[in-house]
Amino acid sequence: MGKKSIIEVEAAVLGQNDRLAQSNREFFAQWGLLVLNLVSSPGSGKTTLLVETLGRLGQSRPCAVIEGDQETPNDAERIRAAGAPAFQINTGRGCHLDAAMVRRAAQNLPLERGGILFIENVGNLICPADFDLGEQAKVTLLSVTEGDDKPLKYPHMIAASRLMLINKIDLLPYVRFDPRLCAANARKINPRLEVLELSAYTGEGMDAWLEWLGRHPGFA
Amino acid sequence: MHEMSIAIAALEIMEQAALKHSARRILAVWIEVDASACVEPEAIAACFEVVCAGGIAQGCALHLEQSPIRARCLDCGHEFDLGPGLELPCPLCAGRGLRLEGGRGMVVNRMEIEE
Ligand SMILES: Nc1nc2c(ncn2[C@@H]2O[C@H](COP(=O)(O)OP(=O)(O)O)[C@@H](O)[C@H]2O)c(=O)[nH]1
Ligand SMILES: [Mg+2]
Ligand SMILES: [Zn+2]
Repeated sequence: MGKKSIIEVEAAVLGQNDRLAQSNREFFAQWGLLVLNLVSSPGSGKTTLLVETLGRLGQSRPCAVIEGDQETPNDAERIRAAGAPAFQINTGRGCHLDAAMVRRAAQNLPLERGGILFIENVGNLICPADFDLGEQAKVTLLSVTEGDDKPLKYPHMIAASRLMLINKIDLLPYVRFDPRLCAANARKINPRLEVLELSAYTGEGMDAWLEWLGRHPGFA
Repeated sequence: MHEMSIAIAALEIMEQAALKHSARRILAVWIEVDASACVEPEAIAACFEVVCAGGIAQGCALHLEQSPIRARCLDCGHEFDLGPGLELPCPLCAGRGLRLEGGRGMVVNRMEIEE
């Protein structure tokens, strides 16, 4: 039997993910990729928005998608049907993607220099806020059926986001939701947050979103 | 429920520390979690046992230390420490709205190793 001793470690557990995320960032920079981490509650329209976005970008900018869901390959199949390579990660009981999973997925995708890597996170506005994936920006998606005070209820995610997309504005006539109040609520938490309103169904507001993507060339 | 990936991350930290101290085995570990880390103690213990199996930390004793987090009452502004259960009302005004302040902590504090 060897000598037994007690050692002090004092290391934060999330530190590990942060280090991996930093290494992802360097990897993405080598490819000059724009990497966006798309977060929302389940059903806000992330996959629908991605499908529409891919259709509109066409050949102008190469895209790849990492799909995170608890179960099913469905979303990755929807993306592939829209013409982009996609890697599905099913997290099982897990509620978020982490940097290690994203690295594994990214290395299994045909990445192209100067392209966009969209990461559709697991539908959940809580835990994904704490897990850096090495993305350039988090984009929070919210739909008009979720209440205009939702940013106040999930402040950590809003604080961590660069852009908030208010989706399903085609439904505005049927719900009590004030997009301007929603944006104001979000900016109480994050004054620098950019906000765009759109409908993935009707295409309203999609031009501004594509323009936003155009203004973000990717990691240098 | 992200306990599996947290258990893996904790084990990686432990293995690195073990390597640094030339440990042959990890016998026990003391991990501190506060309520804001959204970690379920029983789930983490189960995941931990699974990820440790077959490695240097196999069978290692897990001592989870629940640390309090600071909370501020939304009704009266009183600040107080909150234990693992989040159901406590404010001790001053019995208000039932809380804001959790700081500390999203899960920290590997100490290990017992065998050299
Ligand atoms: N009315 C309306 N429905 C939408 C819109 N975008 C998505 N949906 C619907 O919302 C549901 C969830 O969409 P999905 O893209 O799967 O959401 P995800 O879970 O965030 O990926 C589906 O039934 C979509 O057809 C929109 O702009 N307007
Ligand atoms: Mg989806
Ligand atoms: Zn009070």
